[in-house]
Amino acid sequence: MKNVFEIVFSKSENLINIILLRKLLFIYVIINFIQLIPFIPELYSVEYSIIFQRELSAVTINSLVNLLAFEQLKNVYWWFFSLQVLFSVLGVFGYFTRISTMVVWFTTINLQNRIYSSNTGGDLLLNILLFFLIFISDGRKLKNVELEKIKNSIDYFFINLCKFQLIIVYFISALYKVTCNEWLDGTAIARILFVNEYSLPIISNAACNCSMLFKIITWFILAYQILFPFVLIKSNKVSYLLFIGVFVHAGIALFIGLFNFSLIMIISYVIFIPTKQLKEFSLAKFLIAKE
Amino acid sequence: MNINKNIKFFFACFLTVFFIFHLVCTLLYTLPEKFVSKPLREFSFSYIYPLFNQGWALFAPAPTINKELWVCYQHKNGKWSKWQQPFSNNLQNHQKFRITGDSKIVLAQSSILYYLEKENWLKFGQSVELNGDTNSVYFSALKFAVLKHLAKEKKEFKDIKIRVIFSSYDDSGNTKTLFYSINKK
Repeated sequence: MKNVFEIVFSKSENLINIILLRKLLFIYVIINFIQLIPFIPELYSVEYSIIFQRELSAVTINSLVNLLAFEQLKNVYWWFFSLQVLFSVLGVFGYFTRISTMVVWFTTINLQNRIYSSNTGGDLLLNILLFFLIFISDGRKLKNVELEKIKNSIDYFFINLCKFQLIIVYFISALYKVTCNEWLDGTAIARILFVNEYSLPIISNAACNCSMLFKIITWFILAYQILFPFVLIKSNKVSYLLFIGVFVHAGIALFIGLFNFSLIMIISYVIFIPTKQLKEFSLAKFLIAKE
Repeated sequence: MNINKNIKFFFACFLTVFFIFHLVCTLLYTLPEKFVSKPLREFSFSYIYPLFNQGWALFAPAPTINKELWVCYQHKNGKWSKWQQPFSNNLQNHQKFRITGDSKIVLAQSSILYYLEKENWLKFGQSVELNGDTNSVYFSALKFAVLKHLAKEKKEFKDIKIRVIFSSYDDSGNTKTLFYSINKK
């Protein structure tokens, strides 16, 4: 059995998962850009942007990720989009992996902060994962054995940060929910579906008529979030929790309307799939064929 | 290049400390307020907010209020338009096609209205029709969005009226409605 020291300095077995995660996030960024094209003037242009933003002038870490708030830079959002898409495409094809990740992270966080009031948890998670991915290698072996070990240790810690970040999402969400009456008495989903922007007209009527069904759905989601950290238990098979998660998030996308949030969550499940199983998915085979 | 074992050991320790520090700060930042003291929250804020901003309450508490934004404006000839919902097309499209970017416009409005609701929560019990505070930051953001939307639609006007309708369930499942009106040039 390997000791901790050996595990940290040897090549991480989840590296293939990370390579796939990175490519899927790049593809997501491209899809997100295509979605936004018709709305870019309404969201970003100085003349028509409906999103109010206070101007920044001092240079701090916060202002470096809010560059579009500076008076002189308000109109350069097209440059940010161009770089974001260009480096996402390069990243998908496996070129300049770390530089691509860095540029995509930097442009994405700046573009998102410009439209902060429309961001969902998915947008925030995307930024965090992209940031961690900057520090994770593309799996190519270095000639120097010692430097290879150092690289492996950095990979190991940042891969685990990605995993724990996802656990935190579900753990914190479950904690908020168990201290909240609507989730305990089972009325939360029906209440959410009453709100126009998180609903469909047909579904809100159904929520009033089939209250028991919606109570079961509420408790099911709550139980799922509480149980999610068990996904960390090592197994050779894909955890059932991930299948349930895909089902739950597909429901959130369709009925509650948080499509992008759900897509990011589903993409991020890639980290928890056992590498052997992952290689059997045809999309994964296609995307990591070169690696 | 040969890196001796001690250096590797300290490097691993450094990464471990950073790993724990990051996770602790993330937890302090995201845990419900009642679990974290104010100084610890402020400490985690300075590290987490700029690059790792996040919040995972995710519909807890579940929203209980439906919010609608209505606007009417005075034409140059002095006549007032009908009341209309400026972002209703975006909402309809968002409900028809979940994949479109309309969700961004809908969520941007929704979050301003959410904070406007929170700001006035205590006043809601006092009257069915409230006159809003035109100095509110959230009202300014709402008005800004409305004015930009009208500008994009090439609407010319002398004056606008903004009304937000908040509807909620009462305990017997009926709908209660409150008006929050803000009239401002």
